[in-house]
Amino acid sequence: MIKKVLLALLISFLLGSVAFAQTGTLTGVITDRTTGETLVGATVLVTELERGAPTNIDGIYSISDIPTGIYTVRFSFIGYRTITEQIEIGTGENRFDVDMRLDQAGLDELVVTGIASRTSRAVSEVAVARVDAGQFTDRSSYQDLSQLVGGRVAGVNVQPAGGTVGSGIRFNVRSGGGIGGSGQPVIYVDGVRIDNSQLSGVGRGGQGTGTLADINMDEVESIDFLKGPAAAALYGTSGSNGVVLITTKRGQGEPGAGTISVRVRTTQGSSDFDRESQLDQFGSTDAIQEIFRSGRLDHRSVTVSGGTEFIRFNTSADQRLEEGIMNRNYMDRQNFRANFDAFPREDLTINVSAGYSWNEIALPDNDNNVRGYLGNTILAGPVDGVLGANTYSFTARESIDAIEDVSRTTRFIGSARVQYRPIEDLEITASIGYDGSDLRRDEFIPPGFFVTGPGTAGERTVVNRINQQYTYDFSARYNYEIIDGLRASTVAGAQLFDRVLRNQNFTKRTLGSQVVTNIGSGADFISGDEGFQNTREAGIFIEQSLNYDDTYMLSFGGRQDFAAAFRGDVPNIFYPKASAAVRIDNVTNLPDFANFLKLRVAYGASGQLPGFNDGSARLWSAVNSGYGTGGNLNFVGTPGILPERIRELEFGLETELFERFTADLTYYIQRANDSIISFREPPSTGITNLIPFNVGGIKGNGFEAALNLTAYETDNTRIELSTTYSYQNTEVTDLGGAQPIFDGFSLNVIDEGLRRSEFFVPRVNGALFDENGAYAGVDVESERSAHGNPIPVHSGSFTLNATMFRNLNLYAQFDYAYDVYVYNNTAQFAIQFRNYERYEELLTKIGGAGIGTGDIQALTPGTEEYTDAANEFAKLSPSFDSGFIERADWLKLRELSLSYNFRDVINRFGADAYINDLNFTIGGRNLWTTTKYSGIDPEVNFAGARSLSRGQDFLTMPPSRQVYFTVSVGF
Amino acid sequence: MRKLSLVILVTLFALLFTACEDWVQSVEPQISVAEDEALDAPEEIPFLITGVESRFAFVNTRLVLSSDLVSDQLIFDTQMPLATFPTYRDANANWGNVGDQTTFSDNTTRGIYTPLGGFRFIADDLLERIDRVEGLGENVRNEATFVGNFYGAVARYFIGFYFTEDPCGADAGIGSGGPECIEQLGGPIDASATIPSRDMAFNEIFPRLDAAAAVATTYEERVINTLRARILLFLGEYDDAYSAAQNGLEAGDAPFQSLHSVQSSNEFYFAAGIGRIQAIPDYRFADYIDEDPDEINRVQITPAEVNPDRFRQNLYPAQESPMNFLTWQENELMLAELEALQGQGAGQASALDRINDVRASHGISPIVGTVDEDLIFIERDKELFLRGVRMLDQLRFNRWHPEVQGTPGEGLTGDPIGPWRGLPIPNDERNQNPNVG
Repeated sequence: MIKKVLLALLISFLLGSVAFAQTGTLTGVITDRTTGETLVGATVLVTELERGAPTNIDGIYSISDIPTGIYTVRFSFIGYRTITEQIEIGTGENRFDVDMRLDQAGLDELVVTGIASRTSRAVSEVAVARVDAGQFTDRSSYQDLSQLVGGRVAGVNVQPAGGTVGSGIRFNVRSGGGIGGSGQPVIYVDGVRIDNSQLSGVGRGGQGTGTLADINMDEVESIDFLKGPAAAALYGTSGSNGVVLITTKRGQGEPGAGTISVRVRTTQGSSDFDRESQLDQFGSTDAIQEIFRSGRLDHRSVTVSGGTEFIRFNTSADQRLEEGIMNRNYMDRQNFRANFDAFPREDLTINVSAGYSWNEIALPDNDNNVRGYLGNTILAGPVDGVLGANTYSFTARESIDAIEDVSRTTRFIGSARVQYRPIEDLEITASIGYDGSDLRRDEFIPPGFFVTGPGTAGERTVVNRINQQYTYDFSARYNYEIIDGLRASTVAGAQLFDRVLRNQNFTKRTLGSQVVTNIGSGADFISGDEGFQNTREAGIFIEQSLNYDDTYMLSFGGRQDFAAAFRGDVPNIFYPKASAAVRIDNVTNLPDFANFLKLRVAYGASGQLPGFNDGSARLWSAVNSGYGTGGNLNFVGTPGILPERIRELEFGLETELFERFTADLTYYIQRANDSIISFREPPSTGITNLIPFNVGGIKGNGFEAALNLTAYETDNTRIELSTTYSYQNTEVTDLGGAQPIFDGFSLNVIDEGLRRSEFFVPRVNGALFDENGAYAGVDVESERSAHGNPIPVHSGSFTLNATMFRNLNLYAQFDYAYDVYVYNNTAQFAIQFRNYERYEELLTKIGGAGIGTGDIQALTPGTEEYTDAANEFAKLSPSFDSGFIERADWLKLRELSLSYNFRDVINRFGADAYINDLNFTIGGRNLWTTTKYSGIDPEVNFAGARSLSRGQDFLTMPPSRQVYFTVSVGF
Repeated sequence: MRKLSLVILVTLFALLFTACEDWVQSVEPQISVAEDEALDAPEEIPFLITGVESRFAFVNTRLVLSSDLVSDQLIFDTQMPLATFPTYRDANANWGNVGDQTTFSDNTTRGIYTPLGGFRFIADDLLERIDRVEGLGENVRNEATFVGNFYGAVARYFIGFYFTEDPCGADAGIGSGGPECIEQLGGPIDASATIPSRDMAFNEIFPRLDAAAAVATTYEERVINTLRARILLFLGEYDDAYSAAQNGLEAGDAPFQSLHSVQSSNEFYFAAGIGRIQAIPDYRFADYIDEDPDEINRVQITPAEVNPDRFRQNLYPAQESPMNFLTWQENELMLAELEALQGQGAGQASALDRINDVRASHGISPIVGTVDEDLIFIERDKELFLRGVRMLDQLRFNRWHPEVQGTPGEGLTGDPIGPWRGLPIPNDERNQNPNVG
């Protein structure tokens, strides 16, 4: 170490001596190689001197007082391929112009590759994916993460559980890691591990409030994805489903007096129900249609950013009101953000991020709920032979309209990070982050309106939830050169996570007034409870990286992980990782058209924690009753239980061809063992809970591809075509002898030999017939069998991004899912209520008393037509689920936008002194859908975004079609 | 230097390792659960006694509802706007035409069977616990001994007389099923093979009732005898049943009930009551009242608010409505039946008096004539309205209904009844207990 310091001093001395020698100036113009446009803000760095300069508004750079000699000069600009040149500096002016080309593959983009690792994509050893959010949010407005990310990242499928604004979303990342846990990735915002829960109300079905709905996508600069343990091992337990790293926008500074910019933006739009044609299958088409409305979108924001070379800031205020397409559904959110970066000394950087949100979300009762709009219009029985006439038989329309269910959340997500470089190449980073939210949910049924449960007495429920989670990170990185060309980097650190969750709820009934409605005004106490949990996780990690000449890259390391458990042994486990990559284009001479080729392989392990109580022997809880409060055996666990262990091996190939085409291909294999399988002891033993054991296993594999083609490129035109594709497969390999694990409706199963969440029900083969060929019942198999999977086997997107006439941009994104199944419980129940036209037709054809079937006549038993009708009728028997599990492949025009930037017009009229940017966009979401699914929409799940129930359509609000326009002005 | 660095590094990591382990362990404790050993204290025994009683109430209300759906007392009425549960529909049809996989994964049945196992377990656990807890007062010990034994017996009665491993009557053709089906009822305990109802009664239930009687009050003794009489009657042990009933509950005795509260509701409120009507009493109960309006005092029905052309039960009008488990009136009807039909005691004359005493207790005029099986069957139908006994009465009198009850012209009405004459033991048991098929 001392030697290195002395060496540095010697170099400084020598360089200082040279300063008295002859000097020169390096200057030039940096332009876009294709368009010839000058690039403003590109960076030029003389690496030996660590001195640089940006290009000015004319694309010109200038670095003076450079001692004569030969230097390595790096030219870089965001979105362009970095150029490194050896330049000889003579006395006077040395001109060096540079043409930069777009970085098609994003090879020079710095991406996150681990907990304290950030490197360029060109040398990363793991599959990395980034969504540069800014390029999308500049022209469109996104409700939440699912809209911003959906379809853009191969291997990451993000879906809401329907069209309810403000409800939860679910990530499907690769093969889903292990069996345990929620199956969701860990999400960080500026280094803060954030709450990603879905919050259900008290005693209500359907959609829960999504905590991710608090995050304003307009504040986001980029989103990095570490998709599995191979990349996320150093994030430790709970990283098995990947890690999502959200970085918010930072300010840009300029030397001297600095800079400041202001951007004002508004988006106005409207959401509508566009699946009318799917309603014809019900008798109550008009009544269903009538419950939908146009939902307003009103989004406004102002951003002020800027700074000097010493301090930068980015602040924003944002308000978004979005109404759902059904009454009683809206989200009214306000976000405020203030990010600061300070550089008080050359060796010290301080980053502060602070985001505050106030979010009001109203959710209607739908799904498996007698208070829902859809349930009351679709499950409508006949009246006097008219199908679907008996609408609102569960709950009157005025009662449904009168119910209020509103959640109000205040939330602060903030972090402070200090980076100190005490000596060259040593970087010490410490950060603390906090995500604190306070939610209050009010569910109110006014007295005088009849609703199942309270009758007309009225009812009020209040839920309070306070969630506080702290993230502490500390790491040290030391970069050094072992031999010439072989650079090394050692990272060591620790990460702590502490969460305290408190919640309370109260329900009282029999309110005396419709206007005095506090919970104290309820005469009858119905229920009340509270919960408290404090959980902690900690990890120590170390990673060693080697890079030989940007050609051979190798990393290895591991993390020792700890987690809190209730009076049990603390689970601690070691997760290793190793990865390597080789730049083939640097090793061998490839054909000229092959600009870049890299092969990579990575291995990592991660885990899923057992439940907090899983290590307990026996726990008792209190139960209320007419006798008072008594004790009940609540839980039997397994002392010594360990986290589930998930290993992943991935292979990748990245290439760029003809400077136009890029491909990023990854194949991965996942294996989980010690999976925590919850055994059901025979209930006759008296153990009522499922006992967790480390006995299970699951394997998965998949393939991901991201392809990009610049199909056409001229000065003013650029047409880019992209596609992402994901294939994923899973197989549960071991349940350790446990019986299959079913969801609440006994449809989705975790069972040996099957894919995760497979639909698993007895198959209906058709009808049984008597000796005359007449219908005689349902031919159903006695054992269950696989009926397809709600998680698509193949999914992806196609994207067109075309810039024409220099300033006109057309963006279109199609998303698709192939080999996916949905359980149409809506149809099954509609049949039970005799509101399904096809069922009535078939019933008439086989000689039954179908309702409202007009001229349809009974067929003759034994004929082919009769047999076909009887077989179809049998499959629609509401007593069996098999006939309602449908292939539901779909293709959607997810996003379409047309933008025009008036920058040239502004310049032409000399208005650039007042306005430097004006952009206008019109666009839409979900504008077109085609699907094999016969229900209203295939992208729904009645049980929200966390339940074991998946792909189940049961009176769930469908996604809406949205159109909007956006105007943004920069000053 | 390298060695020193290595030592420092190893020391640092060892410290971090220990610190991390300590840090994650020092979380604040939970408040909603307690470990088993923490309840091994005299002051916690009343808490556990109440727990056993509360589980009895929880199971009883659900079991009565489901068994009455299986019997001919309750109808899953598809005309009621809130009748949406397929599991109620299936129970109402005795799981006809739905296949074993649907039958054995019936969520409503699972929702009774699993807590019933827990109820049995904590009753037994209470007896084990008072053996190891020191310093327990005699009164509390006696109360715990009674509760552990009595409710342990009740739990076994529920397992032995309401659940069944196999359908019954299928061999003789769907729609049949008589006393032989009672012998087939039964379930396992602690992952045993199914214990048939008779073995359950003599080997498991009666010894516990004896142990409970040893510490019981005189009223509790009469309760025990009425329960003993009911079980013996189901098994056709008429001599012993008569003896037990003679020492059973007496006129004026309070009914032995399961108690409910808003937080632990009577299940009828949300399944067949004001809270939500999915099941309604069979139409014959309205006929009973048409024939004698005073019958409304015990056959408590009322027009349904959501469909005034129809009616709902009003025996349990509120969430906190208690449910009679054993009454002196039932005891009298057992005595009357045994005297009139089985030649016990004074025979016909006494039997009619007993029936009229029961009627009088509800303000219903006396009847005259011969006490025959039809009369007993009907009087018990009325007196034991929605008490979970009808299923056993239909079996022992071999009067199973031939077709699915329901709304005329709607739903499953008129379809052949399914083969199940008790609640099917769910897959949760079948799949994990090698002794149950």
